[in-house]
Amino acid sequence: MVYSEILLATFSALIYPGLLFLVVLGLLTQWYMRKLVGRLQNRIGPKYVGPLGIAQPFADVIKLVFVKEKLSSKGRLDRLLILFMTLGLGALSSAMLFTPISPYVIRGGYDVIAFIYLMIWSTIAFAVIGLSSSNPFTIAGSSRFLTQILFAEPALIISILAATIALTKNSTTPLSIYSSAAYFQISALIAAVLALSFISFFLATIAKTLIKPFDIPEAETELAGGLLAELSGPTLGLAIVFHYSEIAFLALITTMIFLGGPYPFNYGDALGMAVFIVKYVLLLTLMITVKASVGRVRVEQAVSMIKYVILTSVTALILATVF
Amino acid sequence: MEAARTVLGVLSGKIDSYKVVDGKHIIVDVKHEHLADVVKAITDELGGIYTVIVGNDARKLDGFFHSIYVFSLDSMKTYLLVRVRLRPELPEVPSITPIVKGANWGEREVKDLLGINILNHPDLRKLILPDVWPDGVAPLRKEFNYQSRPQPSSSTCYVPTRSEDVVTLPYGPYHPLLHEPEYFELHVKGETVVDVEYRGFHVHRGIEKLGESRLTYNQVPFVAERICGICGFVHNVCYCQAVEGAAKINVPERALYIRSLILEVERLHSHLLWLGVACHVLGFDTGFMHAWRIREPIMNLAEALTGNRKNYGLNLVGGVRRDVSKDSAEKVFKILKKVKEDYSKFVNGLIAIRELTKRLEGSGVLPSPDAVSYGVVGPVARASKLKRDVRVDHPYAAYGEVSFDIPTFSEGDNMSRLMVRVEEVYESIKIVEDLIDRMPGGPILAEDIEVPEYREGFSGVEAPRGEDVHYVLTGKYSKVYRWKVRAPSYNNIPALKTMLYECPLSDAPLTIASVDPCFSCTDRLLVVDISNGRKFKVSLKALANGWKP
Repeated sequence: MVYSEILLATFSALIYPGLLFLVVLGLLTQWYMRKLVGRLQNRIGPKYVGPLGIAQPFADVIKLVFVKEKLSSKGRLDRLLILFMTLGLGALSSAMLFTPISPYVIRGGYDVIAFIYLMIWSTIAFAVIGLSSSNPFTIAGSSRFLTQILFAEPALIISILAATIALTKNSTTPLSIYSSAAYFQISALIAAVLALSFISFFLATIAKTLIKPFDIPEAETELAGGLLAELSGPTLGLAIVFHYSEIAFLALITTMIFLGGPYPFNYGDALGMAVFIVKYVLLLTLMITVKASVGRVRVEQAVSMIKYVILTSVTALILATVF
Repeated sequence: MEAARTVLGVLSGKIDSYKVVDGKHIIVDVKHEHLADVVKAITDELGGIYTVIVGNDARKLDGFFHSIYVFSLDSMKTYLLVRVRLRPELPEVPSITPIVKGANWGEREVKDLLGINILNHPDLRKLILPDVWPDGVAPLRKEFNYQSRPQPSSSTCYVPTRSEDVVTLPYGPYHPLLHEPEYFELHVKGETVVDVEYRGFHVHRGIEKLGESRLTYNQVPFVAERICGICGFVHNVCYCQAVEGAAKINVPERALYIRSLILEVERLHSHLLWLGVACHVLGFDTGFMHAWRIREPIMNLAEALTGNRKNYGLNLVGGVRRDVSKDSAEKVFKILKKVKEDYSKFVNGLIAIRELTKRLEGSGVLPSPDAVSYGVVGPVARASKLKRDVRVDHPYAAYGEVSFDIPTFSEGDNMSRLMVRVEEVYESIKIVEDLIDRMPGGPILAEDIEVPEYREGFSGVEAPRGEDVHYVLTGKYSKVYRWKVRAPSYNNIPALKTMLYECPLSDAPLTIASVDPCFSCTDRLLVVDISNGRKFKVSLKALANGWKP
């Protein structure tokens, strides 16, 4: 009994919906983003590897990790970098165990706190990428990243709190990710809270994952890649895997908590699954449309924009707690 | 000539002699002790704007070095060339940079290439030649063989000054922002640029020397076209006009129309290219891709008209080599109609994105007085309230026959520079249609061309990036004795120092891109030794052989 549980937990953390699933979904998400942005920009997008170029992101990562030589520069802390990226990826994989799509579920009252803790690890890992090198572009990039994340992360946390509070009002396990997602229902209050917190979670996700207009820390034409400027070969491959896993993770959480996952059907239904996938793809499409239709903003413009995002999430939190 | 009388009136007593070239340009001879007074009088009283300094080793002709200061008298539609003769044994001339900021580069170039000593210049570091070029070897002097390769000297290299709270960000020589090698060193405090250092000319190809020593006057246009990868035709036309002016050749009217036509087609594709690059720098890649999509039919148009998308090889002294067929002229209207539709849709959409315009407005400001002092040209000048356009100020080719507006803005910021180019595309489309409508028949190349020896010619052409000027002194055996080229970016880039000062770091790349800087292919490499910050220029070969600092 205990062994089977350990086996199930290991399977959940490493295979589905943990590490492997996240990585594969992340790279598929990357393919969809690249293909759609390409079409919006009058280009073809990935084409050669696999049908419709679907395997292109996998080929890219494999090339970076196994074919390209490992280059390092003086003063760069490579091991620290790899350690933190692995930790970040691990944190995201284990956070997936809190969700209803996991065979082995971690659930309990107030588990959202642990969930948020794990989520923050990915940010820390990203900050370490910037701080582990002495390249001036990387330094400028990471100082921008820290400025930006200082505003985006609170918005992310407050909006997820607001949503779980509203969704688990009558539950025996309050503020639980599992209960919020699995027993999703809709009422006037929940709809209002979710609408507000969805907006702020969505924008904070874009800011956290450096999608335009918030790709300021990366800023190819200003900082030559900024945070990622010094990475190459295997480390760059790992950073790409990590980055897109994070995007996929945040998009999954948004779909489950803010968009109701398979609602009005259930987890496990074929129809529910179809609804879930459609919602996930629509969410990505929205993200990509934003990405393709705006330019990059300046740091102080970004900060003043994200200020309103925090305000929106705080309003949602007040609504959720007061009523 | 009215202009000559005015000029002589103002400069009387300070000049030795004068002559009028090509019925348009005035050359005055000045002693070097009067130079500062003359330059002051030209800028203050005549409204002259600094254009270029031409150095010339004329020892074989009259026993002197020449330093020729060129000013554009826009209102009088003439160029004023002030010639100072310098002693051959110790050529020395006082600096005019304290009076005209723009002359900084010109004087350094004369020093680098002709070994003319500039007195009281604020910053006499090497500009064109690499830091390791041996002192005292001046490649544009006639005794210097164009094939010789002097041994590098171990002179000291430029070392940036660093302080604790200032971060030095190197932009280039290779950077995603810059599509050609050049080096900007931004000194950044927090997110604000406090100073900028520039090192260019990584790609100095010695084209002038080549033109003076190897080529005949009708071969030069083909090399001139390769000066620029985008607007090469401009140089080609400009050179031919200078020689035609010197030799008093009457170019057939149809040839003039064809030149104007291709120049405008070039302006169209260059401005669309720039719009795309500007979008890319702003992080708006969708705009980048669509601007280049709209540009593509223009390239096809160029191909239909000349047989090539780029490097048309169309010009000769005295006219053009190939005619424009009736079929391709008809194609023009069809293509331009579609381009105009797509373009206005694209531009209206672009300007409607507030996030983009917010970044453009108020950033990289070049105030009008600075613009005059630097002698900036083209869209950069027109965005800073200067209504300068060679097409109107010094009419050439068939531009006197068509009417068009000169879009001018007064803010001097990146938005103004964008808007100038946006509006100019509409004007160019109008001009192209007009030219095709009115194009006369007849021959396209003057017959019985003779280029007399030792005659001077000067010509300006409005390139997409601004005023491009060429100076030609014809020589013996169908060759040019001196050929001086000044591309528009040469005058615009020094103004970046003013534009970038106190500019947010995020807007710095945009500001650099807003002057549309234009350079070319590389042949050298910059190496930075991290341990002591020293920089070296090393040849690829030395590097491959295990070069060590």
